[in-house]
Amino acid sequence: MIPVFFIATFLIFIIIRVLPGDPIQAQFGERRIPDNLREAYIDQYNLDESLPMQYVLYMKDLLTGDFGTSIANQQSINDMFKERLPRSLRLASLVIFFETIIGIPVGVWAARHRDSFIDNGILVVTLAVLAMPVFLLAVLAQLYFGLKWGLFPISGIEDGWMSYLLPAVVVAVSSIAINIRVVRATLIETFREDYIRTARAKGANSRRVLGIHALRNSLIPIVTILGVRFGSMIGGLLVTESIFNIPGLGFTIVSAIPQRDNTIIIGFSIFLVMAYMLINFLVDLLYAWLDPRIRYD
Amino acid sequence: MRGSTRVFVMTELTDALAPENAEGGGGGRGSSNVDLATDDTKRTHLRDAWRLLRRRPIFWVAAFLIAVFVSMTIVPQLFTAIAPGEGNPSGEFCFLADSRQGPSADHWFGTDVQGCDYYTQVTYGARISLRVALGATAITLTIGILLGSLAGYYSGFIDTLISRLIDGFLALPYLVAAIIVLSVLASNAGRNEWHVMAAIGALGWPAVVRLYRASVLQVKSLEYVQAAKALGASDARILARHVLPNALAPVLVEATTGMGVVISVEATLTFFGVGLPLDSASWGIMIAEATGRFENSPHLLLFPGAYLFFGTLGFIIMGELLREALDPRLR
Repeated sequence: MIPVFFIATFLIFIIIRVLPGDPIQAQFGERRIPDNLREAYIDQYNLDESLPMQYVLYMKDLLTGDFGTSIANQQSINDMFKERLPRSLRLASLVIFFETIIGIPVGVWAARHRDSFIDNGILVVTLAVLAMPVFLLAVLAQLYFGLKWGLFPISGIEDGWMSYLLPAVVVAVSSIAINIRVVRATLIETFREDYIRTARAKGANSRRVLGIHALRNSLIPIVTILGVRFGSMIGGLLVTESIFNIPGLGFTIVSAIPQRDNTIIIGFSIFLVMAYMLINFLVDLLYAWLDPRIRYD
Repeated sequence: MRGSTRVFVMTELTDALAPENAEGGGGGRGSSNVDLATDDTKRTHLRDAWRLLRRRPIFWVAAFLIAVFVSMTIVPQLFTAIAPGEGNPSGEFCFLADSRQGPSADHWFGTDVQGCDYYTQVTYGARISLRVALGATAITLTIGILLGSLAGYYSGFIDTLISRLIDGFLALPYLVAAIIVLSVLASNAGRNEWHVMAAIGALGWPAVVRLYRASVLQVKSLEYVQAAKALGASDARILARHVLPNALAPVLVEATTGMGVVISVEATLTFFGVGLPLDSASWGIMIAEATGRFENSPHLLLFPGAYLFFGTLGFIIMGELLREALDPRLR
């Protein structure tokens, strides 16, 4: 886990470093920068050091919990997290909520009626939403539900939870297919296990077989998928955040790129990597809790 | 009477006890048993998959969608008599007076801002989308198979190194990385489809390496690979001639789905202004330009949106069905 963290963060560092343009000049537009100001910048961001050295210096600060300060407005990145992370988290948890309450029952339904007309119908619908690019769905939802029919706020976060509702539904719809497929495939495999046949042979009714025996044993892959998706989603929300103007993490990174605000891009990207890895770690722990056969000694 | 019921119950029971013998396709249970009995010798893995696939209507839907979009890419003239940038079949200019008209008999999808036939524009959009998808997938497969061969065949240090690198890459937020890489590769003016291909291809390989590495691990312990090694074949020859043909299937299935995903990702990047250049006939650009004019001319958004959707859909359905048909556990 730790080497992976350093590889990922170093990759980010390299990619940002080769971004064209001068990050200091970008803050001044066409104006000439006074020499002493430029030197202050170079000094503040260690720009006169070699790339590996910059990385080491940055990591030293990071280990004390300091993500640095924005080049553009000298705001502390940590303060920006405090303001913007809750918005992304709110959106992400709404998405997971919708995905779970719809995805699990539909997946169970498809598995129980395997290869029936219903199952094939669900397959086609899930593949259809999978093929729908998120940005297209977001734009359509915004234009129809927001602009044309006026049912939802279309932009910004002034309306509290209502502002997050439509974007969350959009992301949930476009990614729910994965949940349904995983639940279905796992349950179908579980239904073949010996203990399911034993339970059926004992005369347990189908509800009990499903709830007590099958579903509980299928939870591991489902939890894994939900967890991993939560980790990668916080970054993947940038499309929806940008279209619906929700200033969360992804939105901030995208808007910092044309400004060449490298500390924002690096800080926020590294934060996303950390979130992803932390959640994967928690999922591993959940594994052991859900399946007593797995033990980490 | 009694005897026949009993036989029926017996077959039901054996089916239930040995579900791996039951085939997946709806209603095919009885006939598959007959197949088993008659041409047992001819059964191969691929033939099984094909038999399973051709019974499913959605397989033919997906095949049709892919065929349509591929022919649109190769011979768009088959679909429209009007050349892009012209107003009508006789090759006249577009009239600005015809700007943004709704669908009509003359212009099935209406006209665009310049007054040109929109059906033609949208049809020609397939070309660049599929080209980028093909290029990016080729890059992904090449890197994926090369690194996957190395990691799977030579375990130990190389394997660890490549696997850690994959983990690192997978931890990067994909779209964020793609947007940053594309900003790096070229400024807005100088960007072209090769940059988009390279960026998408350069970020897509980790999943392929993982998959191919697993296949190589499986294949390399097989007897014919040991035999080739015993005969003195070089590692490169073993990997290319013996391992590759037998480890390729899962990766190709993934690549089919991947084509659909790349079409979608390219449109997303283009929509955000970091993908294909503004003057290219691309669905992403058409959609981006249409959002501001939605209230008066929704057709400018809906037609390229529909093409983008169906183009992606064909590949995604095909990939999913192939995966299901080739995976013995799902049968």
